[in-house]
Amino acid sequence: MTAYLTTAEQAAWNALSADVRADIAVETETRDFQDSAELVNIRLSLVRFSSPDLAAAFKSDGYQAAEKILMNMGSADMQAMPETDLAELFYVIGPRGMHTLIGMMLAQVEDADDAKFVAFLSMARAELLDSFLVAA
Amino acid sequence: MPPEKSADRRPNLPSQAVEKKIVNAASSLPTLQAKAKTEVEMVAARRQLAEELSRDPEVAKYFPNPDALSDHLLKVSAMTRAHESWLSKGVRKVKETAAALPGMIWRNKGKIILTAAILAGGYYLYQFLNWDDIQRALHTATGKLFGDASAIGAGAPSVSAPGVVPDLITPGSGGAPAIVPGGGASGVY
Repeated sequence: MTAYLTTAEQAAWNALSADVRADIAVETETRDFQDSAELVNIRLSLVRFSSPDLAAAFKSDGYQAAEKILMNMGSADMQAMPETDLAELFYVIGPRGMHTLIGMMLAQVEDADDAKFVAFLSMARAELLDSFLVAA
Repeated sequence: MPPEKSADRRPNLPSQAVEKKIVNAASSLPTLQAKAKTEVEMVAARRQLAEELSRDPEVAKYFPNPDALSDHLLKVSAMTRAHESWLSKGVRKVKETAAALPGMIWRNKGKIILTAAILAGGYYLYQFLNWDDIQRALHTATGKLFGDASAIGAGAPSVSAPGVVPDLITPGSGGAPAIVPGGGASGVY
């Protein structure tokens, strides 16, 4: 498994214990994407969720649906979420949102599973950057 | 009930209904531009589409100036291409890697992706200009999640009070979301 981390993220990564980081290679991520509220708005109008709850949550009057989803997440099985919906969630977040998410999760790594999840998020960010930067 | 919206509600961001109209219209842009022989003709084709679109009163409410709408159409095209690229290529590797992650990771942490998307979308979704408003809007709901530290790992921040929901948009912490044009800067990359 490979983690694609910025220089700043690598400093936090390297501060983790060696056993936590074991078996995860690191490559440097140098790219960035300048996001904006305008672009997020466009993305929200492009996504198509198969889950009716998710579709409702991302409508402009979807506060109640978003709240319901968040309330129900304690027992939610994200593995059961359709892959297409997961893909749309990543698209809404975008590379810049992923950057913040990775930073937050990096600060909370305690074990190897935590580290693997950070690596997974960083890989998703790298793929998002590929798509966003080619299209820009 | 959601909290009251900011008095300084962000102006001129299209409603989703209007944005969808623009997105639908923009789908014809590649065909129009393919007929253009020069860069000038491409710009003219886009400008013409913008002029036609801005005759719609609902669209004109957000884009009274066709030049601004023409610029917006460019961004719609870029986001559409990014979406197509992501769904056709980028997401494949993500799916493979996600499938290889132990189920325990998904049970404990997968939901953070959903939360992040709702928060990221929420910035626009609820039309709040102030990031604190978003936090207030979601802190009750996310508190149910983050109150259980295992949801995002031990030491997860409590969201029992506004202002402590992790900022999922701004790299670094504090300040206006970088997602706001001219807002907080990354300083990380």
